[in-house]
Amino acid sequence: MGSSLQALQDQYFFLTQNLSDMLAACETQAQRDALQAQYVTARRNFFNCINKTLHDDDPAAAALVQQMKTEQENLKKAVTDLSKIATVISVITDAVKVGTALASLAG
Amino acid sequence: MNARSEAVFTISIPRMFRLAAPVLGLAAALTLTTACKTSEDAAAAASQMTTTARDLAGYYARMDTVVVDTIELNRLQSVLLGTTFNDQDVAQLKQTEQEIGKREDLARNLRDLSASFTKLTGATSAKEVATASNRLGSALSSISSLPGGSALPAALATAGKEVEALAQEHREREAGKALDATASAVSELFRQEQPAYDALFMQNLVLAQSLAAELLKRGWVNEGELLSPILQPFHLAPPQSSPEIHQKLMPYAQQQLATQMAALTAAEKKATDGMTKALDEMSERIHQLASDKAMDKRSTPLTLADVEKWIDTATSAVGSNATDQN
Repeated sequence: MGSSLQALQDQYFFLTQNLSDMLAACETQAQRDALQAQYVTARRNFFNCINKTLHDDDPAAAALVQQMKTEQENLKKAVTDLSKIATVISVITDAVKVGTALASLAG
Repeated sequence: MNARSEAVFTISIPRMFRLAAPVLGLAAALTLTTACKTSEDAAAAASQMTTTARDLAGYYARMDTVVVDTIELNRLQSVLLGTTFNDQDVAQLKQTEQEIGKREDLARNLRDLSASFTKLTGATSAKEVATASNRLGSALSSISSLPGGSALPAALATAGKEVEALAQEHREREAGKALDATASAVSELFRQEQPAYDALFMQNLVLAQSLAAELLKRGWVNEGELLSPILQPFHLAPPQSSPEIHQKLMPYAQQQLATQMAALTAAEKKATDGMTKALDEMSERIHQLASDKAMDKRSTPLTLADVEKWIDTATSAVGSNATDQN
């Protein structure tokens, strides 16, 4: 699988599988809304990428993929402690931002 | 009709041109092949192409069901977890479904064309070949990419007209090599798009599993059904779930999700890999034929069995069966 699609898939799938637990850990509606917004963005990024063939030899894409891998590791660590949900949402926001940048690269 | 959107699975202009332009050459070339080599090889090639194209159509029909199911699963997720899934999201997936449908049409037209070759015996059959070729050319011209990608080569639309022109002009000799290129291009197209097909299937499965886990957590599943293997031989009905049953069987039910997830993932991977290999094999055999070599294999590609099995075991969240009945 192209590394761009793989990176966006990893992010979207991880968020899908952990969404319920993360929503349950939210303490305020604002936190839930922020989390939902990021989830939807990650989903749209993924489906955009499904529909594009990203040139993995594009240096810009390669750099973003690497950045996404780093963000994905941060995400996995953050989700292990849902008592700090605000931190989790912040990490998700950063990760999805990178995903959006990757998904927007034209094929 | 949706406007032609940007290319989904970007294929370079030369590759798509090779696909569309000589596709009718496929008709004419097999006519030539059959005429000059009225042999078992040509008949076998036509038969293999028919079967391979039929299964390719079935594969796309299955993928179409996956996209339809995805829309429904997202609606249910919206109800259960409050996630946004609005008209914008539905429209994107509808476009995806439409493009998968066009690929299914292409495969069916290819199947029909191949099938008509096996009946080449005279004027009537030649007419059938020409008709099928024209349809295939039109189908190729209508394919745009899945939404959101880069611009589809304009040459594809032009190539569709070239295809029809080849049939009209009976340029069989030129089409001999084109048949080889066409088979290769179909194979390459599928190979290029395979990661996207795998991703489409997996996202559906991951979403379904996550929602199933949510329902289990809420106790909205009848775990009593898991006792059916014990009770069924004795015509006894499983119990409705109770707090006690829920507590006892919850871990087992969760394991069921994981086990079934792994099995479905493996089956799709095997089918998609199998389809790729079958198309490659078809392409290689056609190449042998076009190179005036004897085909070393005449049987249907073995990997199609995995594709057919996957198609036939389709289950759907919306209750339809994806088996190709056409």
